[in-house]
Amino acid sequence: MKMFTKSGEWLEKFGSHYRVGLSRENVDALGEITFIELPKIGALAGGESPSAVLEAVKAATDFYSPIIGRIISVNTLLSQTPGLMNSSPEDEAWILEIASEDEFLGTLLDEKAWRTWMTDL
Amino acid sequence: MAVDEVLTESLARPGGRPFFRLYAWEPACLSLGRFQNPIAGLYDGILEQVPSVRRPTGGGAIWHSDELTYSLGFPSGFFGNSDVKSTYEKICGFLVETWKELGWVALFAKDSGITGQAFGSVTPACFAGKEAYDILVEGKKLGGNAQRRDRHIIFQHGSIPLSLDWPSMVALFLPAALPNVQQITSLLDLGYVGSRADLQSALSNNLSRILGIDLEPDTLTPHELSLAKEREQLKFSDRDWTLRGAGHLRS
Repeated sequence: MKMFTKSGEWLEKFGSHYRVGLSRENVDALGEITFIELPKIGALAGGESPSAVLEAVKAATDFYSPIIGRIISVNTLLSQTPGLMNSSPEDEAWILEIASEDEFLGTLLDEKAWRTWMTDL
Repeated sequence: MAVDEVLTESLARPGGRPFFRLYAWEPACLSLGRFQNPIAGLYDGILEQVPSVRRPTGGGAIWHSDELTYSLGFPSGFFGNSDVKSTYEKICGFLVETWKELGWVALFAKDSGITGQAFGSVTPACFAGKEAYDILVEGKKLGGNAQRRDRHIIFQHGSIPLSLDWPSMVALFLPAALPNVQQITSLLDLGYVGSRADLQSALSNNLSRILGIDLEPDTLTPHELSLAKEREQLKFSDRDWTLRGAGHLRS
């Protein structure tokens, strides 16, 4: 089940690891994504440092992992087709896969709660 | 760029203050977007022939010659929960108002009613791009603006061309990458006859008014100055950084 942070990142457990990405709302707010700088496999995710950088037409913006752990995979499709972020941000355009001891950062909302919360903003 | 980076870092610390800078370029210089691949759209070897720097913001290259450049940094929370487009529109409001005060029709491209054109293209030359939030003055794109956002800070800078150096742009950009001369403009082309100081004053006053802030003249602290010089030498003057950025570039 996908969970969302209040700042718009999502995470979903796949077996022993998590996939993380950016919500549809956050991607729409950025506009057309033109490039994604992905981290190295093996790097630590979570904490104060961004894990990736997204370039949109008007802004370069940092992506912060909503979970602390080690990056075990990056979505290389995004390097070739950054527009996938706009067309499928919560499915095909996952950004990282992370091995974690369930160290979540911040409050997590299920999808319904997230979308309700966004609507109420 | 080094000064902006240091000021942004200062802003992110407890007690950090938002900033607004206005500056010019000497000598003229080519700036690349953060992820721009210099082989796309520029003549081969051009970076070895002209001063160049890589920006922290995205987008395409700009030849900075006769222009006024602004940069500013605010805490993310200053604009509430505003997204990129909303903050961009709020911040750029000071530009639009300044151009209106000078008697020109100024608006964002998205409000211009222009049809039949696709917004959102990324181009090797910044001024050649067509984006919904481009500022059109008398129907033509005036300058370019871009943001860099992290968890805490919104940084934005922009180029305001006082005049356009077409001979240099033709020498820098491949023909297919050149902006369309019919679609961009400068203050000179618009008939601006005021001084640079008048322009700076108008921009500052409008920023202050529109964002509801008081601007106070200030200078870099000795520590900031020292850091900026170090950053300039070790990063922004480093050829490898300028040519390759952090190692990942748009193809």
